[in-house]
Amino acid sequence: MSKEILTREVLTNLSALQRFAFSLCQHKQEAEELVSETVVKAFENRTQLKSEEKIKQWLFRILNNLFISNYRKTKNRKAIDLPELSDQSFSLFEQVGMSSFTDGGTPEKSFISKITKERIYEAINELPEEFRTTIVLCDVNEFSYTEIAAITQVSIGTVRSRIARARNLLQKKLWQYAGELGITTKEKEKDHVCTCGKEEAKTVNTATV
Amino acid sequence: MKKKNKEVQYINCEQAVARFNDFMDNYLKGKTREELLKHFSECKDCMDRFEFEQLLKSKVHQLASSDDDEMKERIEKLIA
Repeated sequence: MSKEILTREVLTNLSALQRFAFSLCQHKQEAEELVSETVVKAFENRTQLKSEEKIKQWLFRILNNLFISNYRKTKNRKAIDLPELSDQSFSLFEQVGMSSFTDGGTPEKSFISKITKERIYEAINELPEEFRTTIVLCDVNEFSYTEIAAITQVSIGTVRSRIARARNLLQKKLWQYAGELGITTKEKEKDHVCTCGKEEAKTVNTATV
Repeated sequence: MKKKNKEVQYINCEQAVARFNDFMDNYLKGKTREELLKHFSECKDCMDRFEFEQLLKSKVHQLASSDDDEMKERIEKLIA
């Protein structure tokens, strides 16, 4: 990998690397140091990378590995608070939909327009590390499941499950924010009501020979 | 010999919601994708909920639009 190409790629991806570093460290100065170390390490090892296609993924993987070896041990990692099975059915859409909140549109769309970038940022940073980093890689930096699996060195199945849980937890955090905005449900509890008229899955034209 | 069943099945709301993430991230293919699209065509609630989740995802993606010029300068010096 030439120095010129690597320089270009580092500068192109600098903001994304910083966001990822911050999602790992949760400390601005440490995140900046981690990015600097990543850049130094990438230049030291640039001959190892043959294909231009995977530079971005390679940079993120170096950053993740450096965090694990040099930074994570100094952190008091938050205990992983896995949502219970019943919690996974939480739906912000349903909660907001049951409120009387409106700002010209439907309660759901009105609420989305009220959420600020800062609030989303705060909510993501309150998630446990595994979920925080996965949602940043997927939804902010737009990596594919395969790329996230390579960067974080876990299986695609784990990535998939972390994304589902991260989004679910994020919705719960944002529902707390809704409470601060004075948005509350009108009814105490309401489950999603299937309106498609097909509560039970059924098969049509089953073809077996 | 059994022929593999590839016909699109009806799925209920719970099954549809369980496929939202894969669909949103372009990981849903073939029959499972067709089944979800069929469900959307029949269930407005699920379609609305999916659109909401997609809007939320795009809101999260907006975090990508911030640049730190100071850091950029620092890195440029580092690799000069």
